[in-house]
Amino acid sequence: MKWSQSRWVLGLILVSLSLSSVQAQEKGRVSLVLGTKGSPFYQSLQCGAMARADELGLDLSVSAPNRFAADSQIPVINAVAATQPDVAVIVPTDMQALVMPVRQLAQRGSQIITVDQTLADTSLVETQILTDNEEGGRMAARQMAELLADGGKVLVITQPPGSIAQDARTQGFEAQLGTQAGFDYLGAQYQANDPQKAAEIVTSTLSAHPDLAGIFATNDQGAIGAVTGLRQAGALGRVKMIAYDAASAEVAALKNGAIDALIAQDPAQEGRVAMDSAAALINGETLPATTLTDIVVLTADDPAQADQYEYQADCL
Amino acid sequence: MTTTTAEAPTRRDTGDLLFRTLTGGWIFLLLIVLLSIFLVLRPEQFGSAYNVQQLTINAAIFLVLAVGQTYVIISAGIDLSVGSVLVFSSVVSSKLMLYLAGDGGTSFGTTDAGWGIILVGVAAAVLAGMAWGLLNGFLIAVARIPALIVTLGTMGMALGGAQILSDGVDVRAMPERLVNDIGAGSIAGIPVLVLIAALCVVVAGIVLHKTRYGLQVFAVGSHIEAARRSGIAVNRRLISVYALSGAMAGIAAVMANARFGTTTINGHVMDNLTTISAVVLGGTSLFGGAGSVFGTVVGVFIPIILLNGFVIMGIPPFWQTVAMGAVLILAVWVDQLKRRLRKRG
Amino acid sequence: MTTPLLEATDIHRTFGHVQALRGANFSVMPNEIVALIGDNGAGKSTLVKILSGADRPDTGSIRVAGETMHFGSPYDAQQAGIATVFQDLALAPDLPPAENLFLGRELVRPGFAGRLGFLDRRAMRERAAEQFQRLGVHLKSDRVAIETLSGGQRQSVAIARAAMWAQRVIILDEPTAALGVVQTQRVLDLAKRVRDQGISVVLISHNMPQVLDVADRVQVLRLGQTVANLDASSASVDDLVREMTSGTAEEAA
Repeated sequence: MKWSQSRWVLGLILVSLSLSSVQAQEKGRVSLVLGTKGSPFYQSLQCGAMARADELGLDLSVSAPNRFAADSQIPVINAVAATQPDVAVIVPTDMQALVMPVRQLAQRGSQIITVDQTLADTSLVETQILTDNEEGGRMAARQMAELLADGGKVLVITQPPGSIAQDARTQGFEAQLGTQAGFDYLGAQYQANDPQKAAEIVTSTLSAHPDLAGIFATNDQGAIGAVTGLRQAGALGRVKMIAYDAASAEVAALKNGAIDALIAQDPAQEGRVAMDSAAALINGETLPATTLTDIVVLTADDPAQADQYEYQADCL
Repeated sequence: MTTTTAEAPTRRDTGDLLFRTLTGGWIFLLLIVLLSIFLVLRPEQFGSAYNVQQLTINAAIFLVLAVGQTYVIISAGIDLSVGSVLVFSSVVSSKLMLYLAGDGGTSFGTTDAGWGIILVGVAAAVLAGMAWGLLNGFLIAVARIPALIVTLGTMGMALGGAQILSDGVDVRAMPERLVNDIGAGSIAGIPVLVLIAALCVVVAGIVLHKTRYGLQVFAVGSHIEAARRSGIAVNRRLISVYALSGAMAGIAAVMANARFGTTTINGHVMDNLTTISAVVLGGTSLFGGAGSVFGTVVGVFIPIILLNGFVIMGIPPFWQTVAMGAVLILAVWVDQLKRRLRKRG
Repeated sequence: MTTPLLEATDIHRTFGHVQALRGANFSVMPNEIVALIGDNGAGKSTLVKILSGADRPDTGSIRVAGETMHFGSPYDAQQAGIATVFQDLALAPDLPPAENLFLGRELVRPGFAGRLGFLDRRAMRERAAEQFQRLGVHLKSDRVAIETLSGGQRQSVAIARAAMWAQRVIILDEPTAALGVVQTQRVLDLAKRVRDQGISVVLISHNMPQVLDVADRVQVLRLGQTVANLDASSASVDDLVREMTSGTAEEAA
């Protein structure tokens, strides 16, 4: 760089430094870092949190990585740590890789709440806000038994191993299904948030097992893909379909009969609970290690309930 | 980041400040402007020692990958496989270290493996990365298959290979010393990851801009037939460039293992595009023959600083994505303008 | 009689059913500009490829300074002191003139740094500047990319490079085909200066007046055979045209 150029740049920096005023430190600053951008689940959580933060008078800022992955999320957490919020509410995208960044966040004076996902090292965490994913899986298996009184062949579509929540849903489902007579479990197939892949899994499974009786998809992307695959194969309705979550597409599929039952979490409630917990921490209260939020079974019989639980980004 | 390779040899002496600003230096000015804006708006948060340190750590792995990508793009090629090769190398390296290690370390997800084992792991990562690079280079230079297709293919193969080796489950036990001393350690206040990246950048910059080998890489990218007729061993240069990119991905794999304390099989999906856009932002021509390592360093930092500044300022997440895309298009547009200017010159 | 620097004798080359060369002869003497002309299809480009090492004859011999050679590649021909400037110039458009002059023959620093492959850019620039000055080539800057130069200047750089590495002969394939009047004249002057430096020049051209103006000797190809070998100072355009259209090999012998 030429000296005249560097002088110009130096001047700019000096001006910017002299202009900078000390920012007012408000009380009750909370940062929420979601798992990924653009997911209805996390947007619904965000809306619940924003509404409750308003009521409680908390100064909430929300950020999210491009993808649900540690390498994408860590820079976001680092930037949040630079702002030193009083409380940081984090959806950790990897139980191991996020330990170090979250520890730095804590060392810089923020109290930590995790929501939806967990960390390997919970000693840093004031409280975890969770749903019982294993119980959700068992609920799905019990619902499957209600739909298929005589049992039959059942397939699970889930994420590749490594996601604690999805793994727990699968385990709960498998364990419960094993106790129910007449079911022939075909095992789990993996799709990485890729509906196209889920559709391919369903159509090829139908080729191998034309008598497939039921499918359990552990998240919305898998469910949307599975419904597409069933429609493509002309097997809608014949194959019973249960899915986790209540994204708009899933609720629509539930209402038109493509999905028979949904296991819904309540992300807005998780967001509200997170803000309540944050306010409590700022007031110096201690919290239980874990706070469980609700899971419900949605069926087409009760569309009003389905609407109530639909993951909606109604505030954005 | 200061390197002795601050300027590409091809455009040192234009003299005219305006011309230089419009050509080589403008992306560096953009970086300075971004820094200034965030410093004005959030001085004690953006400018804190902590934040600056985090910015450099977040850039470290991309810097190493992007330096390899710079060589490839200057040779008029492209390497889409870097992210997958990183994942593959990290799985090979961590599996090997886990196999060699004894007991668990003092904290969750670590082993007590010593430096000898870690060194073996590093060598394994670099060799695994280089092997993919050699395959890329051979298929491109000798079999004459387009680089886009070859590296798209090996991108899938390397990721699939990593999933086969690991059953798709991340290896969660890393040597404790690797994680603590390299991933989280620092020497004289500078994070070790940043030191490694700086070393890679400086060495790669000197080799590219100061040596006969580097000049021949430029020549191959500028006009492959001219290089061949001048007696340059074109195929060997091409193969070496991809091998270098693979080896850099291997080094980056060790850094990722150290930093995350786990392999990250489901991550690094966008690393190829991130590094390619950093290289292009830095003024390296996608058509080959022109570019610099220093430009790439600037190109790596721009999106990282944008993301960091936007999060600190609380700008909604979706706007960040829009802004990054706009900056990339702006960069390429200015690059084209400057080329037209030079042609008319 | 002096030995020709480069001599091709009774060259035959057949592509499928096409007999491109049917016993062509060609010679280059020291310190001369010799033009090679012929109508389209006469076999000029095939002969140039064979002389430059880019193609091999079916039969016939090539001697360099009296010694029989077999060129396997243009690189072999260069090693024998014969360099060719094809119409695509074979320059790296993104690199500056000095780097282009030393393409594939880069200078490294003396000592240990050199063994590590460190370039001696200053020496390359200095020697390039000397070469340009010797040949009267004036570039607006020695540090800008070749692609920013005019067509004539690029041609000049390519010729200067060939003259730098060819000890005996440089072959210019239609060097002025794409140039304007002024630039054409500069390139032809450059060819003369190259000859004056002691390197013979083979000029392939369509332009008869130009050939007579610059060349010392003219050899004419017709239907794959050499039909004339004329002294440029005593030949006229009409002579050239007559040989190109109706000359026979017997006359030339």
